[in-house]
Amino acid sequence: MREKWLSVAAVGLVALILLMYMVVYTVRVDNVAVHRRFGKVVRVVRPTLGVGGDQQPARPPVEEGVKVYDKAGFFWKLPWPFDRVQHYDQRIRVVDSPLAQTQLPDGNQLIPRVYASWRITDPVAFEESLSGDEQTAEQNLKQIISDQTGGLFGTYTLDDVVNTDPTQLKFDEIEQKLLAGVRDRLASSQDAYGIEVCSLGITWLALPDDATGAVFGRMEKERHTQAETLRSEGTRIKQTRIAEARAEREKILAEAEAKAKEMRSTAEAEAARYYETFAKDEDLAIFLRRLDAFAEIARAALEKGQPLTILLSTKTEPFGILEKGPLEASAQGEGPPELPALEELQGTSSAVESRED
Amino acid sequence: MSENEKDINQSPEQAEPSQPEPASPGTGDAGSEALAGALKVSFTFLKLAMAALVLFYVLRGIFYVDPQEVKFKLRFGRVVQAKGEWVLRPATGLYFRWPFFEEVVPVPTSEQGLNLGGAFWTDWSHDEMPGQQKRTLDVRTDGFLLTGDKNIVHMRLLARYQARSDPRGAVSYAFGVEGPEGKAPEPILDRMLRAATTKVVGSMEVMDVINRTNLFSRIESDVRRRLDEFERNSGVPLGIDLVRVEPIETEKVKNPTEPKTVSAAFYRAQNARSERDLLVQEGNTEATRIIDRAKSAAAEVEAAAMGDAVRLVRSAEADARAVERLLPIYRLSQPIANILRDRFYQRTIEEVMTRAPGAFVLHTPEEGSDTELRLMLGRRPITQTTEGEEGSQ
Repeated sequence: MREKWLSVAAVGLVALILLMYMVVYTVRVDNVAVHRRFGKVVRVVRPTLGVGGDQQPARPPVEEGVKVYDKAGFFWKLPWPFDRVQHYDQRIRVVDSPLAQTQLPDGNQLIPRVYASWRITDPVAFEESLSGDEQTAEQNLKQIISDQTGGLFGTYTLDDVVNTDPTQLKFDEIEQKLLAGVRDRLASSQDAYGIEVCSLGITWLALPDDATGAVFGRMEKERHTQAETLRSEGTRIKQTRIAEARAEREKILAEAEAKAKEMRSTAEAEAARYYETFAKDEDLAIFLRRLDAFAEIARAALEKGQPLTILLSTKTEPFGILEKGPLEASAQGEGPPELPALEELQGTSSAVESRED
Repeated sequence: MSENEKDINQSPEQAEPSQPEPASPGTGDAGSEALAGALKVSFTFLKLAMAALVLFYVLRGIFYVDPQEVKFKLRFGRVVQAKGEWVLRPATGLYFRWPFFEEVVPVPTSEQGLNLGGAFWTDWSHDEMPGQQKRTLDVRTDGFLLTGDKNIVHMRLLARYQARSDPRGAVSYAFGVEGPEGKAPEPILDRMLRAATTKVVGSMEVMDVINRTNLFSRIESDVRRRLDEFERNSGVPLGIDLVRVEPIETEKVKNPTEPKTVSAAFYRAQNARSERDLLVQEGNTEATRIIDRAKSAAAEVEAAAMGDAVRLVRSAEADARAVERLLPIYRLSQPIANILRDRFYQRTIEEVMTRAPGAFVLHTPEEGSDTELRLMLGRRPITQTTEGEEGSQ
């Protein structure tokens, strides 16, 4: 009896599971679903990705009068043939435009490639316009992007697309216009596929084969010119730096000289304080100063290793004794010998000569 | 066994006397018993096996989170909390999911690399001989980039990224975008990286690209801008944190690089750049030397002036003191004054003459006299040093 009940329970469970499969459906968080009864949409399940109270932006509305559920989970339905539920992937995916040569207004040829990321936002429109075929959606989107790209690039020059001057570069502007153009097309009733473009960008700017050959030729010429320019620039900079340094040297030396002069004049002024003392006997002071100067000149010459030859007259004391002899000198010995005058000592009768060997 | 039972068990043919093959008593009984026993054992095994299977299936629902991942638990396709958390993090213990209606989705949080190796690269390995490289590029097979000065370069780069582990970022990574398992955002990131690279290289000079002057930081910055824009437009993030954008480094392969067809010209230009730098460096060195010497000379001039100034003042001071001391004696009488002057004079001459290596004392004859006296004093004669120049006079 017990085994019988167990069997009944097992069969009942299987039957229940089968029944549940027939009357319940689940929608994953990354899917959208359209629930139809006798072909009429009765419910759209379009879960948002928000978790933990995360605010999600408003999504475009679907068919009027249709309930939209924004939570994933399980839902009831009537079994086939009454109800039919169609699931679609609502994740964002990418599509690349085909490579197509475009003639620019400046005569250049360009082959741009553009990508777009897109997702299904209105599964009802998607189902009704494209029969829910994602490949067809991609094909149509590619065509729209291609149309927009060709049309837009036809209004820009190569300098607008690639340029080292940021004020002339219009890359961002072109991308924004492309995105706006594609979105406008998808918003129009003709191309209302129930999809949305999330981002768009120019992934490649290629040139036709023959244009690349021309670029290679120009690159070689430019490098040659650049090499010449670099060498002459190097020489010019070197010379300029040296000339600047020489000017700087003159300035430094001039400043030093000026400073030296200032120091000397200050010293002169300070030394002048003692001239009052010299004025007490001008003759003696000058005489002593000249002797010092004479000794200093001779000493400096000797210190520098310059051979010093002194030419003196026999009239110069003490060599006067050579002319006068001892007797004359003695006869005049009542007093001190007559000393040469200061002018004589300074100018004609004695001289100190220093010369390089 | 009763007679009736025996009859029942026997077939009519077996009952006929012409075929007297009596059934051995107890044979059918034993078979049935054996069969029943075998079935019972089999059922027991089956029950145990099923119980084990069910147990195994249920136990498979136990899971934990590895260190380099986070996980989401879904019930009927909806993200639900486990232990009060939306995102299940590593080292938070064991979790359980029910079979059939619950599932677990992992998100790897370790650093991953998106390799953009071939998008802007051309294989020149078949054109090794110099001068025999192809002169054009084919968009169907060759990748390249157009620079801001309309040159062509090749580049290989890599974006390093990490899945975000916050609920908003991780849920987008897992369910927001379509892509390879565990790397769902890569297709979109790949396109963003291409677009950023195309734009940045298209705004730079070719040599700046080749020398990588702020190249990868600018690309990285542009990719980040695009990620923000994507989130603004779609309402959901891509679910990644961009770590950095970097070149793919390969031994002996320059990256970024000019096309091989023009590499010789680039090499010459590069050499010229080195020459220029060398010339500039020489100029700088020479300039520094000149200025250093000037500074040194200036310092000498200033030091000499300082010395002179000090000497001047000290000398004046000393002279003044000497005059001050001598004056009282000097003024005593004329003879004393004369003697003093003579002594000073003679002492100076003596000092100088004794130190000078050579001296001539010449006799100046009287007017009309033919006598002349020359006295040479000196410890050594002055030698002739240059041709035609006399060493002594």
